[in-house]
Amino acid sequence: MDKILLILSTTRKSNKCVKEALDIANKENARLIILFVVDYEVPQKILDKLTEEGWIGKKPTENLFNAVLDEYSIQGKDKIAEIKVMAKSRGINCKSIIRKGKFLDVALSVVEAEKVNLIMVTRRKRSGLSRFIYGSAVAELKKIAGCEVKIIDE
Amino acid sequence: MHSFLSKNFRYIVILLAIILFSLILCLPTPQGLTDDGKKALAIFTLCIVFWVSSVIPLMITSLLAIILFPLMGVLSADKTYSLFGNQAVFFILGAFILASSVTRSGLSSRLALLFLKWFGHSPKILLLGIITLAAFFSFWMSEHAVAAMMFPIVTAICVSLELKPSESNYGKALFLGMAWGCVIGGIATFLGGARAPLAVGILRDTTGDSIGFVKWALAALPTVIIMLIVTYGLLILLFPIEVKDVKRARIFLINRTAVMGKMKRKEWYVGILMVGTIFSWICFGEKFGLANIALAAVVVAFVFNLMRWREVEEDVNWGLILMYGGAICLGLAMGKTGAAHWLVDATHLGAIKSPFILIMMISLVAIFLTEAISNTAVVALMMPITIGIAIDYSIDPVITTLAVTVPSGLAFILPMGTPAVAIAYSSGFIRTRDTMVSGLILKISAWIFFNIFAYFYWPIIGIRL
Repeated sequence: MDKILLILSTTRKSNKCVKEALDIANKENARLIILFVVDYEVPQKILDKLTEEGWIGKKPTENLFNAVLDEYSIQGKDKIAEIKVMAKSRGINCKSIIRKGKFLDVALSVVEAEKVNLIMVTRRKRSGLSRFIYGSAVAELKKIAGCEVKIIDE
Repeated sequence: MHSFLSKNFRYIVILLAIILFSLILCLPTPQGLTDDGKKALAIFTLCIVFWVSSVIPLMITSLLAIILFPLMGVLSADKTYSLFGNQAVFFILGAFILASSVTRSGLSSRLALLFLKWFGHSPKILLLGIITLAAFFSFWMSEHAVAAMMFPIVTAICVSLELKPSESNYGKALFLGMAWGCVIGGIATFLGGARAPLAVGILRDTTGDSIGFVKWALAALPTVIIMLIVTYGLLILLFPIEVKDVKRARIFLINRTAVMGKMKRKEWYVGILMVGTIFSWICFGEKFGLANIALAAVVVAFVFNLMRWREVEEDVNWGLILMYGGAICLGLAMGKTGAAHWLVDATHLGAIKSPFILIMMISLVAIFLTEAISNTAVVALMMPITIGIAIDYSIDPVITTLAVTVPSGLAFILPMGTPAVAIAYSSGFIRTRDTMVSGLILKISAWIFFNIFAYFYWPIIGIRL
């Protein structure tokens, strides 16, 4: 196995998944690519809520949207720095990417560009009903990724 | 199958709503309900489904009501469109424009930073400062705007203290304190959100009664004060603070205040204008009308060049006018056609003899319903029914208006309940499990205190059950 892609996002970043990705990369002597997706979807929903229910105008909503994305980027950088330290201590070769966008779109674009062999991703705790009605981006990723996808439940 | 459901959820809901709407229209008119009442009920049901499911934006649902009433002959087109000229619409527009001038001038951020600087001596005091500040600002500005304004400040405090998202108890307490402070403060006056002016607008157009700025604040304030104390105690209890000191946060606040420099002339003028407007609302609101005072203040702001129209266009959400027009129209049609009266009879609420128990039930429904749907929608859908209840059971409709509107603002648990809580969730510090127990405790406490004050305190200020 050459490349393992560990996908984290603002809402999917369990330590269990990170640990497992590091273990596999160590065992397989593979390169670990850490992708942190600064997910648009959560702030986008808040933005819609502020506009439609909070009756807040365009400018304050945009300001808040940018503030939330900035905060997520900081969180992503911190998380990546933390993982890099762990990887370094175990001699794992790793690379990091931070991208803004929709989880599935960003994940698929990186999978295609990096030609990875294995994807490791966290699945958020959600009710079966919620998954049934609203679907799951992680399940969608597994279906169309074109390589092995290991899903770690939060 | 799940993919089909998720992709077509809104179309399924829209189809179901149309089927329900057609079914009510096609069924024979029940005894005690007029044909126009049946049509009004069908439109009301359609709007409820759309408001609850949010498959289309709230204001577009209102637009649908405005189209359907004249089309189906329930209200004349002239009457329907004249409801856009309601005082409540112009009051809230004026208040939002004034709030925009406060934010644009930088006055709100300056006051927030100064206030927090005074409170930045210990973790507990800083938390108290955030709760109090959020609540106090929400007395005078939309609670959602306050949450949006405070989010970057609280985030910067968390960053300065190196708090870890979803792990730090103090981070959770700060964001929840911000959100819940806004939510609680937002019920205190007409300015905290769009729901109170909307409720008073429906009340006035349906019954001719009204409630003034001061009386509303007097009725709501005890609940606000008690709930702020409960919130602070609960956050300290459920999220034990792990941070020893907040020196770095204080340094951040001092630096940010220093960067802002001295208070600018524009900030002074905006501050004076706001104080004058609030004073006029309190002292002359009954005499001159809240909307007139708000609009006069807007004119003064433009005369003194305190804001530009481009800024107003960017800051004010004009969809609000559509929402208000539609909701007021719906309330009026439900009352005028007797549909509200019939609905009350059909629910057999007559079995309840005590007006106080009715008020408790109304407030209970409102406080829980608001977790699932927008608080403006709660007001729009509950007001026509509860006014019907008030008329049928000879209760002062002002009381039912308060019983719907105040609890409908108290959404503490779920992000879909209110934007302030959604903003706190977006920080990454809070998970659903963090707000489940604490939010429920707050909700139940708020309901109990609200009803205690309704029973014992409201008669003292002249609101008798």
